[in-house]
Amino acid sequence: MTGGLEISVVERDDVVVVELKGSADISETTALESRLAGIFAMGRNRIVIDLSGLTFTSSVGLGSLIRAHIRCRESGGGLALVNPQPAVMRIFKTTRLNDLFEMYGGVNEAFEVIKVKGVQG
Amino acid sequence: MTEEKMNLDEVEIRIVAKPTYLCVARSAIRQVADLVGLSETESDGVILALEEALANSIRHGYGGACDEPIIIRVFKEVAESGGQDALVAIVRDFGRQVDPASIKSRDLEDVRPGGLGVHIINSVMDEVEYSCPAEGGMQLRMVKYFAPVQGSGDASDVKTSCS
Repeated sequence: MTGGLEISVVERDDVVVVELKGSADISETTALESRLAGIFAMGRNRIVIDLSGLTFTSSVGLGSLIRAHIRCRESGGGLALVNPQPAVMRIFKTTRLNDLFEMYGGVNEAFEVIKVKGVQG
Repeated sequence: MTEEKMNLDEVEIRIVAKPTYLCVARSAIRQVADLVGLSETESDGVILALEEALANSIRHGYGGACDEPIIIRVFKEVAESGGQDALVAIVRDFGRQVDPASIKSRDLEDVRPGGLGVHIINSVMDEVEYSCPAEGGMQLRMVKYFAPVQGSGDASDVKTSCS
């Protein structure tokens, strides 16, 4: 478990898929916050965050996810998390945030749910 | 836990209060936890609690990243007879002192960023004790018992003291 967080962002239709790899500790949250802020600045509010490569998050990393979730929800969009590793899932359960976030087993599954969030049918 | 008990495998780490060094502390504590035989799940919890404690020292004790020290001591505490061995982690900073009684977990129903660190520490450790040493700064002593654990690891025994 070492430092460093890789963040990759891909846009599919109007859904932004963010892939996190590494460790979301206090030293990395500025980068994460900045990337998420950039997504919102583009007017996007439907986000899928792939956590399958995330090995560690502290409460500050969780705070970034909570902030993004609230912003998506309040603007009529949505945010889904994908496939957290067991160690990361334990942190979500410790903080009961597994009840707050929509979680899916794969990016495609989450994408299909999130892409219709806030879309008028 | 009494002071008379023998401490084995004590490791002391001194870092400057900068977030970039937290990964160094995490890696070292992971190694110690492995060496003394803590399970992977228990190690994950101790490391998470340590991360939160160090982040609190940087943000609240020192008011942000700086060149001041944070000292981490980790050791195995061996029960004398019939008790449970434990891993003890002590985090010492020399920053601002706060009344330990004011350090409280927030209501998890109140969904907002921030304020989760104390809850995480209390949840994953079995004992948590904040104190204000006379020399200044804060000290946090956290205990994680080796499995089989009484209960699920919820810090039912949160102590506070000021000298």
